[in-house]
Amino acid sequence: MPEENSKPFGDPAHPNRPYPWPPPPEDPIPGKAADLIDLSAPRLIVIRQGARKFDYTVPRIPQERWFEYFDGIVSTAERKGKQVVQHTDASSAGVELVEKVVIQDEAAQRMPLAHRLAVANVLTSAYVPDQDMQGFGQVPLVAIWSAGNGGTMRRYKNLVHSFEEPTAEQNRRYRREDSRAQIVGGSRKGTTVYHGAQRALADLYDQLIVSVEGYAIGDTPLAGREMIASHMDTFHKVASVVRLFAPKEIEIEDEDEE
Amino acid sequence: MKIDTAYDVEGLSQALSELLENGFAQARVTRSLDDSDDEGRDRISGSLPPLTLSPGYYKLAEYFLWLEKCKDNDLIKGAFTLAESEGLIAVAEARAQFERNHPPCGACGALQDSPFATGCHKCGAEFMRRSS
Repeated sequence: MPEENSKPFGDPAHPNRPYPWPPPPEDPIPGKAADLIDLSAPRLIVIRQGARKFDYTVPRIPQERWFEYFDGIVSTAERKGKQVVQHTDASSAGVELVEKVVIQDEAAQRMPLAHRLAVANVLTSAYVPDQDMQGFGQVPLVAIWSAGNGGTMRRYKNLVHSFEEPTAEQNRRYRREDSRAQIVGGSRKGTTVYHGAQRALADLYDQLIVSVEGYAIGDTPLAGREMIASHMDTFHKVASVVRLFAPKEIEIEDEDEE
Repeated sequence: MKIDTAYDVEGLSQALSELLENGFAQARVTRSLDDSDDEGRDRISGSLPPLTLSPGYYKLAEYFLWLEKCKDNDLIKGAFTLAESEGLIAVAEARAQFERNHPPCGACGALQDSPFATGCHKCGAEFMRRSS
């Protein structure tokens, strides 16, 4: 039998790839526990550098550690003539977070800076994709969480957080915290340093969350406000709930594209 | 030295005045902007009253303007913090000053550019000067 006929499957995306091809990635099956983020398991973050592979295990990050990370983010704004120049630096805070949660033994202390930054990027990778909410209060989230069985980092696109509608009082709390700032260097030419509202957002998440999709504790899908509030990753809390308070983005089309 | 914007009432008052003036001027020039070419837009935009303080003051001022609206519409039930009450007083004072600077036309209600205007820019009504 010619070799061509014995090939078990075709690979149209890579026709020149030598046989045997690697098996295609498994299609996620909705609702299957393996496709849920297991919040109770430590995260395995794999970095490949040439032929070498580095594995870093990240235990569950407690809320207080996340608050230290948020406190370390430097978010500033200053006036340069008629322009306002904004600057945000989360990398130092990210490196500090990694040093606190990952580096516990002597071997890990030799972790290169580039790896610390890469791990920090994975830990803070959750974002709301550029799409409309699926209904009021349903916020989709995309995040890289942990490496799969093949040692490849997986991006989860099926995460959804469903919230109650915030009250005016809750909106007030968010806006008050979000407007807190200090000025360094004088009221006119000085730099505004924003405090950030992440602590309030994490608390508002616990008050407003109704259900989530895409998360589990072991094999049990995460359900119920109390269970979600106590197990959800704080970064995911903040990244999702802020969407309820953020102004709706307006679609803009350039004139010449009409 | 660090200044906490929530406790700098003077800075907050100035930010509120500048925002109110800027908003008023912006509304006035919107129509002119629509009819202008790019160069005209740059010129008109450049003539808006400047915002002179560090950006954090305006974010706080916007919060207090929003809070004032909520309070006026009975949307907020909880007590105000000390900083919030000071902020709301600053909003009331800035609004009173703004209204003195831009009195409404007795005929059509349009706000005027200055208290010394001799006629309404919108309906053309002539204003009587009080003799001292």
